Amino acid sequence: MTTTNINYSDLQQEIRDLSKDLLESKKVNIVIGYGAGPLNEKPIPTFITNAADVDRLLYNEHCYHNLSVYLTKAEIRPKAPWAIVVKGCDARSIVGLVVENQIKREDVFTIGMPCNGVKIEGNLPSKCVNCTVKNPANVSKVVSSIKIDSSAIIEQHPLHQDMEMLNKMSAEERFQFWKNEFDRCIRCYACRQICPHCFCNTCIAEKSTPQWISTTPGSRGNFAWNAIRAFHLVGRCVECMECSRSCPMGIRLDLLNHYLAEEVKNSYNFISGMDFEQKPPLTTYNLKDNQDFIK
Amino acid sequence: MARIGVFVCWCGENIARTVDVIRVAEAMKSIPGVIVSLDYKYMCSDPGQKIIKDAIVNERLSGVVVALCSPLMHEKTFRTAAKEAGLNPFLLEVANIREHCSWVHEDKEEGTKKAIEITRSVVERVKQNYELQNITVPITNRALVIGGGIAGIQAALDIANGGHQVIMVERTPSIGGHMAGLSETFPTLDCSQCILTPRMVEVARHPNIKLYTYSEVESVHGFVGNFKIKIRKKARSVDINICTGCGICQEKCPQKKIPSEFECGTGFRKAIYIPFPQAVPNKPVIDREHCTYFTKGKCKLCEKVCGPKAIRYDQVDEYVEEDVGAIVVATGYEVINSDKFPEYGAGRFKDIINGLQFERLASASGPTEGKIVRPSDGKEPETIVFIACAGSRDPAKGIPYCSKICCMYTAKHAMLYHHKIHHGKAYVFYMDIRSAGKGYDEFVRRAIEQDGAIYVRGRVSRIYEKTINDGNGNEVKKLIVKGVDTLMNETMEIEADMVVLATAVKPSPGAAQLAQKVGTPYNEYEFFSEAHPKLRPVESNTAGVFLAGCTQSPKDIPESVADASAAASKVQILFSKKELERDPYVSIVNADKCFGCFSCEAVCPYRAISREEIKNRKGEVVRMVAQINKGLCQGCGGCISICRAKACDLIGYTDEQIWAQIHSYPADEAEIETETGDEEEDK
Ligand SMILES: Cc1cc2nc3c(=O)[nH]c(=O)nc-3n(C[C@H](O)[C@H](O)[C@H](O)COP(=O)(O)OP(=O)(O)OC[C@H]3O[C@@H](n4cnc5c(N)ncnc54)[C@H](O)[C@@H]3O)c2cc1C
Ligand code: SF4
Ligand code: SF4
Repeated sequence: MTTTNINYSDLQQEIRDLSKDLLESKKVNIVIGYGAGPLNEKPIPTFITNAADVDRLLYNEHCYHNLSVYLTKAEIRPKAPWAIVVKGCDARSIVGLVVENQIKREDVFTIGMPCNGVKIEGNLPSKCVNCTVKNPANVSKVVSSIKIDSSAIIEQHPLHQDMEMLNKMSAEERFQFWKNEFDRCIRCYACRQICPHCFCNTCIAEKSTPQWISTTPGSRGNFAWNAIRAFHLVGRCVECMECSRSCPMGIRLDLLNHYLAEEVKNSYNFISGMDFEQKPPLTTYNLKDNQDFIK
Repeated sequence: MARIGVFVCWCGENIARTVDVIRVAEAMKSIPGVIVSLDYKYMCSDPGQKIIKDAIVNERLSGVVVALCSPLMHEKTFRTAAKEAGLNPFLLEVANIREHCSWVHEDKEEGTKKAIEITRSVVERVKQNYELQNITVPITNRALVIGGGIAGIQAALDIANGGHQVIMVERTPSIGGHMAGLSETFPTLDCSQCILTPRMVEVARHPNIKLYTYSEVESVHGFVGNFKIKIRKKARSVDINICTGCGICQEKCPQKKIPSEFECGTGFRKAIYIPFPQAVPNKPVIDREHCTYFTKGKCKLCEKVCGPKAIRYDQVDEYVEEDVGAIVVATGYEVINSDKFPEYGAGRFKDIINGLQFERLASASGPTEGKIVRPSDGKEPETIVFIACAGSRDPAKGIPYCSKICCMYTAKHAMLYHHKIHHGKAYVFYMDIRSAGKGYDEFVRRAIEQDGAIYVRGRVSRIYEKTINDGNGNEVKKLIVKGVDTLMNETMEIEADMVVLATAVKPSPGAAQLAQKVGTPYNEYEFFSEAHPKLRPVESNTAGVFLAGCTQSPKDIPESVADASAAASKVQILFSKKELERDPYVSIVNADKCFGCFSCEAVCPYRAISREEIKNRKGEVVRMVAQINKGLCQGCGGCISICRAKACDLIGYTDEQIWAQIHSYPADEAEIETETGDEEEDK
């Protein structure tokens, strides 16, 4: 049965039951999910290690965080095996982390949530439009038997117009556009901290001797930081858009990431986080690779 | 504190013409840490080198910059000089102010400024340099020869006779290559098999040669001196250790009509067959695609008649590994297919054959025992047309290059034809006659003057079949050859009985895939590329990989053999040492920074990166990091650019060194800064 209606309290109960099972049977040491936050409606990331606490777990349409970022954090990593609540988009991050050897597939129990789009400040984010993973793939267990109808595809992606705008620009104009965006950056590194794929021990932004990227907010360092971060995520970013959500300066990281993801899709026929066997396209080569950029 | 010496060279007028070398030397004196800065007319001369050596000793220099020609020219010279003066050679660097500056500029003022910047940047780099030692790696004194044509055979014999072991891998069931199928060979017309077969036998008998026929190179790992080769021995379906080569199986096999590869389709073979009587090894192979047992599940006649019981229907491909120190690629050529020529019937006309087929017809051991006859009706051709450059030098056919051997073998064919059919008429259509070589032009002249070949300069535009009346009331099939004689400026039409196309030479099938396995470059036609067309003609760009014969470009037998001996001598030079010294420019991993994504492992073209376990005190594995085998690493820097955490660094080209170099340039010239105008940074 396909539906577009989701009964969140059912899903929430299933998460709790499953978590209880997993913790009690010692299949996992910790459940990473969503729980009550200071603003009642909006849940925040919550960590449960005791089966008696599972009722703290919540689930509703405001569960937009991509929790997979926690798996590689020093506090959580040693607690493997973990269980983690994931939407289809978040599950792509888990795949990416396994592919890049950051976590072992057998260490993570993914509780997959059917999702018909989350709400951020009451709005449907662009990433949820034309989402292809409303029914999560590559997860340990999909919660509930409901199937979300994902046939409704609208022609134009919400970012389509912005992409067109970029494509119409000359190289100089595009440079200026991004410079204006990055000029606002205050180097809080919220984007890096929230990104599941920014898992380096030492970020290049923190490299001294020599310091390639100037750390003071300023045109040059900001451009270098944002451009290098974008390049580091090419073919790896899963477009969860957590970075653009967390950026206090509203920098168009959503557009930057989406643009690069489209490039990767068109050049290498590659979409990240879809398959445990796939290799990030920039680390592999194939004789059939598109070479028309070499002129 | 650094004590740097700078030595600026005039290179006669080469540098001094567009660079004020005195000013360059003067400018360096103001850089902190520069103790001496001099110019000299020819630094590379003995007195020039002495100046440097003396300064190293007298001024107790901690680093040297020589500003002169490309490091490819003289880095070694000066590093040796530094070493002789007691300075670690890696504390000397070259600032290239010739190829990168004086030769490409005309304005002396600008040239001088640029030379100052180049030299200054290298001074800053040398301040960051540190002592390095060459890496030594042991050499396996065993060579792999891929391909058992005349080139491979010659290379293998030379190396083996030099006292080293050779592994030879040949794809087909027998060694010999194309030469085994040739009739007589230009320019002396000696019988091809008579001169080749003794060498084939020698290969088989040589105590230093291990022969894998019907085998292919599956993978190549490692590097010069230390290659690991995986060889796939294809299932022959015959145990060649037991088989006596009696040939009874081949006689009894009911599958008779399989076109023989060796006869180039002019004759037939069985499903179990020895490719030709002189094959080495002289053992049969079952062609499973045509064998009745393999296709229909019944027959096994060969098994029944085999005395020593050598037939193995259940044999499977076998893999063996061999360690070698050098590789000679001698995989030869093939000729393009006649179906590439729609204007000549695209392979539909039976009496249009190619040169290799003609060789078989003219060969005493061939299907017609040396009688030249038309494939269609077995009659002697009274008029024969040879077309040189069939496909070669024809960009429209994708082959702009000259196949080189066709002029000569076409003259040979015309000659052989005349020797066998005295009253026959032989026409040769050609573009130019290319017969440079000892005795070659004389050979072509003989074909024309003594053997009456009619040479027509021009191309054939079309050939078609026509049945005509021969005047005695008989209907005969003729090939109408329409061409043009450009010297007489007239069109021609010849009623020929047979046409021989000198089809273009191209690399053996699979050459590109092999090149990728071996890791050597190849050109757009898939010929293997030599390291330098003039000075390093038999070396590839990959250390330890050498080339011989038609693998590299079309060649005749004398050239292929000369190549092979040259490659063999290169191999023996390599094998004359026990250890190989190489520069220390390899990558290293900082295990603290490495977070184990292993992107580097994926991008490393030399497979130098492996995974290392990091354990805690209890001996539990806490994480995995990349580790670099410095014997395998070639210092290409692939890992360094893919590593997001900058955990990889290149010894001798560290981040610090590059940074120092970049930062020596005046900051206000960096483009982005002028554009953004933020002055507060990096000043
Ligand atoms: C019609 C014709 C007439 C000629 N007549 C003369 C003549 O009269 N005089 C003269 O000097 N030259 C003549 N030549 C040229 C002569 O044939 C070549 O110069 C010579 O055969 C080149 O030897 P080779 O070893 O380089 O290549 P080949 O003879 O082609 O041998 C290559 C060998 O490598 C094997 N091989 C290929 N790929 C692989 C692989 N991937 N792995 C393992 N093995 C592989 C092949 O099976 C083959 O055995 C003639 C050529 C033609 C076409
Ligand atoms: S979150 Fe925004 S402001 Fe903060 S570092 Fe990233 S791009 Fe800059
Ligand atoms: S959208 Fe942003 S946070 Fe999400 S994976 Fe891509 S870069 Fe990381």
